[in-house]
Amino acid sequence: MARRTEQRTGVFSRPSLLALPALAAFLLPGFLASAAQEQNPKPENVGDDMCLVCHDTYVSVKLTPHAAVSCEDCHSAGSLHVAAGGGEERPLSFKDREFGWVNGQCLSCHRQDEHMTGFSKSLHARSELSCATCHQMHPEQPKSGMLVSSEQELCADCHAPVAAEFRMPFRHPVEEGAMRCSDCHAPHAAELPGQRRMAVSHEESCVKCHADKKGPFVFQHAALEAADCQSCHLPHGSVNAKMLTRSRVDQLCLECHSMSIGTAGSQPFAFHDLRSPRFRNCTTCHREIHGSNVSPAFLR
Amino acid sequence: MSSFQRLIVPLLLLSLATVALQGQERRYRFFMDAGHRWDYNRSGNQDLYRSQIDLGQGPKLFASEFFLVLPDGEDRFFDRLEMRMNDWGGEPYNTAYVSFSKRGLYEFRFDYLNSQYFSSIPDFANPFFEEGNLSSQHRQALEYKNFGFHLKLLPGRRISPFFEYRRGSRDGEAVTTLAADGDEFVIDALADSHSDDIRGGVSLKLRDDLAIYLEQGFRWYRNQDEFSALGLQEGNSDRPFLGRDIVLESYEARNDFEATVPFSTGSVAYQPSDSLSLRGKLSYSLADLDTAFRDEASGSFLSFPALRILYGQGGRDTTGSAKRPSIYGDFSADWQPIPQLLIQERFTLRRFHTSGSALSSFLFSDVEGIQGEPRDDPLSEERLFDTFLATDVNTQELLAKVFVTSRFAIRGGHRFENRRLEVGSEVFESDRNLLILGASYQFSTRNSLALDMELGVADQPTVFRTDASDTFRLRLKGRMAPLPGLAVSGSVVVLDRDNDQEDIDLATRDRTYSLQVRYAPFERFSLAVDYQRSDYDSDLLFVVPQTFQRDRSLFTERGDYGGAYLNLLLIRGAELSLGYSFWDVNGSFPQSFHRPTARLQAPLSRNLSAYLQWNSYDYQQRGDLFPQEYQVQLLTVGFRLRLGNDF
Repeated sequence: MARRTEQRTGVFSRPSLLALPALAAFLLPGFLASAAQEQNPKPENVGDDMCLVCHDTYVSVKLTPHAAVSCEDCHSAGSLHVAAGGGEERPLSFKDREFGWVNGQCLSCHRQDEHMTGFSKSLHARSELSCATCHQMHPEQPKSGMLVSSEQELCADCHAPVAAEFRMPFRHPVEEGAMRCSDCHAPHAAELPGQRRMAVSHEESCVKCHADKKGPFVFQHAALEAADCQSCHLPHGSVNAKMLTRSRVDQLCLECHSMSIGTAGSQPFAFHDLRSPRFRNCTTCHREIHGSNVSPAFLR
Repeated sequence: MSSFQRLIVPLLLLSLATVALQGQERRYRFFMDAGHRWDYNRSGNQDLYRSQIDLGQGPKLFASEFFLVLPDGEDRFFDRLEMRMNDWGGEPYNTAYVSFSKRGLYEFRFDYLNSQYFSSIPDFANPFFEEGNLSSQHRQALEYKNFGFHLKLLPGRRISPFFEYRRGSRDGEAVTTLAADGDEFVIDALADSHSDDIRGGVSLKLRDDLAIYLEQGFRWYRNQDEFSALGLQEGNSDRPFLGRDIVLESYEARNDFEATVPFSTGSVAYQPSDSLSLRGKLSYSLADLDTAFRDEASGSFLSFPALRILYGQGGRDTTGSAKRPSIYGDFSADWQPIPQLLIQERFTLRRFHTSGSALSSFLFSDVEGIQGEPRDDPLSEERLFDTFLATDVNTQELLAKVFVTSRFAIRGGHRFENRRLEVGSEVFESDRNLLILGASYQFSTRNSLALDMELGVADQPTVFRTDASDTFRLRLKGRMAPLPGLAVSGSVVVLDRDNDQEDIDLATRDRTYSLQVRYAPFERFSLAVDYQRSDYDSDLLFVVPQTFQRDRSLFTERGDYGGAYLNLLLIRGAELSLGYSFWDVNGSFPQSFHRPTARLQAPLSRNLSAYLQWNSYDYQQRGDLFPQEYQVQLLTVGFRLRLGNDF
């Protein structure tokens, strides 16, 4: 028994000079990590009910599509914040963060949404707008699309000149509430210039309501195909009848139908006497100006 | 349905929904804004008022909303319901929206829009306007209806199918014109067209880095417009042709156009690494059109091509067909090799090719020679038309964005556009190169500045789109909040377009300057002031066909817009709102449009408030000829009801 004790003592006694520093080197990081963990323990999830004990004004998030998302999914685990009685050890906050950081957080879930896959190419992304510019994650009164305000007010906040166009004499009824900006524009992903939305058959969104104007026609007005509705119309609003770009019809038609030689658009040119009021109103005769199935000159 | 009936239906629905909630612990919100509107002091051209505003008097449901969320675990068909009905009771636009969903199981939404479109504008396409005849030859009173529903199953899951149906229709009465060789006549029209869209597909989020979207749809469109005229008409021209008056005695015509459009879309988003994401989208559709048209006319006409004078009765039958295959493709890549640099490459293509044919048979039994000599043979003509129109547009864009700091980014790139247009046997192709530059600086959440510039140069001018040649676009936008409660924003937009082709020589100059100030120093006071100035000049050379002399078509528009809105919270929760906006336009078509408004709202109880609102519309043209104007005042007495719990 005594011998065994000696042996064991001997085993420990002989290499002790080398073993002790090695052991210390092996254990020290663990001790330090443990001590650090005691000083900065890793936060853990506490659940939404705990968050809402203090942040009860954010209960409205449960009325939004984000109801299925936990507070800590976006703001990180909050146990340390709870342990500190609030105030210190704050979880991630979105306040006053730059656009790239905020968008990165949102896109970590929404990148694969069909309407979001082209977001990085959109004008909004190129203008470095943050998702939080338009969306409010836990508003007191949730609005459609989790928007900061009504869509009309929200868009007008940055696009004031466009909002003013909707107060022109001839306009689309956005101010009246019958249409929304997003009926024609895709705020997240650009498909057509001006971030215009396409109709389901990848034509312009105008065709959703004005199917009779887009054809196809046997005799198609080339302006509709070569360009778009905005060749002749100002879709937000205009001081001219029919939301045209010009007050007189002939001034508009002449943009393409001037007598010009050697280019496609010169066929056919306007051969009428444009000094006469009768011929300054081209659509008096060419009434089916968007296209016709009967008349090559769009007369009926 | 009368306006009263139109009002009662939504009110009943909303009331029933609210009553059903009484005494139950569910989160809900109900809001209704309803009242009665009177108009008074109407003056001026009321057709023009109806073409622009068209708000009338009577009982109205201006807005309503119902929102319901059921507690978790409640075994119901839905756990979230939202309903909205706006502008019912004879308003020119009525809307309804219903959506309900059960989390993780389905989402359903339905929307409805009814537009009463009225247009009768004296100076538009009216050849007699300059003689003082204010009766429009193009008058429309149409009803546009658009409704549809969308059902999405298993939202947020890896496999999520969807289905959608949408219907749009247009019907009503109109007045339009019929052009014959040498004269035009006013005829009546009955519009009747509708379209149905059905589409379905699936969204597949197979892995965290791969999403696929597939869609198949079908559109069906039909137009059956009818035209008619009864009674002798002299037409727009009172000048005899070859000694013969051209007159219309009767006219009847009917369209029957039917188009079917199957369409398919597929898109893929793939992110192979944190620094690289790829996206591709491809759509294809094939429109197939069948047409039939028949008209019959009696009167005295002229046929220039046949050199015949026609009288008695005759008609035309036209049948035709057209096909339009089209493709849209969009392929892009985002590469961010380092956090400070993002490189974006994008390629898009659009193809619309339309080929059509029509066979037109024309028969007029009673004819004379142009010298008045009698002819025994009827004028019978059969013509076959073949048409082809193809548009191909390809764009390629390379853009680099450098994040100098987390709040300051600059970007630059190049876009190449290639357009190819084929009309019959004529082919036209042009290339355009654009330089893109931009920068944005976000000082803080509320202070930012952004500058964008595009400079486009075409290799050759085109007369199909006068703006598709050389362009310069500059946009500067900024916003700042220098003081608590004060926000200022503004923008400058410059757009120049030039087409240097010698016989076009188009130049347009478009400038828009805007400034907005929002001031709300304390809760009881807020003021919003907007000002905008827009200058537009267009200068185009054209050739007068009769003299072959060159002349210039000049168009100018100097627009000033101003708006101010003041909101004051008075004693006992009463609220006074005053607003005024105007457009003042000088140039080729000078006019002004003033819209003052005032509203006083006072709470009657915790949930109910009453208001009195006044609106005025004052429109005036300032042309040298018969300037048109109208003034209408509207007075509304209404109430706003808010019910709800928890929020």
